[in-house]
This record gives sequence, C-alpha cells and structure tokens, in this order.
Amino acid sequence: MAPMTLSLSDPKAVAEAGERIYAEKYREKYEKEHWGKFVAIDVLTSDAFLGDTAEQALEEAREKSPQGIFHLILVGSPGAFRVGYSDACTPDWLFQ
Amino acid sequence: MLVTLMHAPLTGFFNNSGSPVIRITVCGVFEQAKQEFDAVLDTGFTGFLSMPLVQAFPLGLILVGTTSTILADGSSSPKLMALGRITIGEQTETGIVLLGGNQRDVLVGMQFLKSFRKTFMLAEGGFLLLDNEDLRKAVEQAHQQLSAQLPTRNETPAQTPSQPETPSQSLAV
Repeated sequence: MAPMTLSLSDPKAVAEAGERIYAEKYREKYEKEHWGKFVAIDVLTSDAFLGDTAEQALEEAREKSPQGIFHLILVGSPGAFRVGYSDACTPDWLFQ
Repeated sequence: MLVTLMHAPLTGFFNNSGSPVIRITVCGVFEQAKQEFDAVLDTGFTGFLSMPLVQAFPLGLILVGTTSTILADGSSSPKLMALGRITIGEQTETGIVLLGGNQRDVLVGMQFLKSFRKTFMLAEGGFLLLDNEDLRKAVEQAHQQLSAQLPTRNETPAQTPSQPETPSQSLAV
C-alpha cells in the first residue's frame, strides 16, 4: 500500500507511486486482457479503475473513490497521451 | 448545388507559425472564473486540453492527479492532470486538462474534436469546425441532389447506344 501522505503538492511522488503500483499489481494482467484501455490508479489505496477513454476511467475512479489522487495510464503505452506541438514537449520543472 | 447546415460552422485562423488557432472559453468549478484563450489545434495531441499551469490557477480547475505524455522523440514526460470545461459557441464539454509548468501555449487535441463531435476543414484564410452530424446530412443532401440531376439506368439515354457510359452516370441509383 502506498503511503497515505502523498499529495498533489508533490506531483513527482504521485506519478512515481502510480507507475510503481501499476507495475507491481496490474501491468502483467492488464497488458494481456485490457490492452489499449485507460486505467486510473488511486495512489492512496492502490485501486485501479478501467475505461475505454481517459475520461471514462477518471469518471469511474472519482465516482468510486471521491477523495482519491489518481495517476492515469494507457495500458501498453509509455504515456497516456501523445503530444505533437513542440511547446508542450519540454521537460516539466514540476517533476524535476 | 446547395446544402443546408443546422449549426453555423465555427471558424479559426492560422497564427504566425502557421498553426490553426481557435478561441475557446475554459472554466473549472466556478462559472464566473471562466476565461477565453486562443488555443492551438494540435492534431498530434491525443488529449482534450493542455495548458500552462500559471494560466490554469485562476480558473479553479479540479486537480485530480498526474499522467504522462509521450513526446515527439518517443520519451515520456509526467504532467499534472485536472478536470475542466471548454465552451465553443453554444456547446460545452468536460474533459481532462493537462497542466504544464514550462508550457506557453494552450493546446486542444483530438479528444477535443471527438468530444465536441467536430470535423476540421481547411478553408480560404483559415479553417472551419463543422458539426459531424451536419456534415453527414450535407453529404447526404448533396448525394440526393446529384442523383436527382442524373438520369437513372431505366431512362432512355440521350446518347447513342454506341457511346460508353460515363463514370458519373454509373453513380445514379
């Protein structure tokens, strides 16, 4: 279980916790059974919520876990969204 | 040939770097905190909306967590994630807003077009966002008008039997 002290004031820790929980609990099964779906991981409870779209996964997650802090993943992909425009491609100081 | 559209198409323009730009209104939980932005329509972006963190602060977006984006070089980069509403014309849709610490421009992506059910179409001096359902009906109308103007296979052709059938006649039903 992830530490309950995680908050969005430390987005780097939230993102790392979400990736770790997904890798340890869900990746193997989801990449066989739910390839291409979105999953929102609640980093406070380690629960996972699947959806066909990012919005569906997050809606389900917020309905079942209203106080949750979520990390969104696209099953089978290194990132949930692709970005084409160069301005959005610079490394983010929030996560350094 | 005339076809009618139920909704007026939304218009956009191209900025100095040649990117398509559309005016949107973004809003979080408080309607009175809404603001207008000129957003770049980035068809290489798969999400709904991506904007600079500093511009998102006054909007009262609902911060929900983090996610990661795949950059042009194939590497991934984490982002803060919020929920927000975009209004264009009379239509408002809710979606995921990515917040970038270093970002300068406001971007809307493919999920924006899907959520608003719009089709991007280049036009002289700018571009149009057409309602998908309007576009489908317009294509149907155009097809019907075209069909009505062409002789059907059962009508006596004005041409001599030895003339080959033209491709447009073969479309008549």
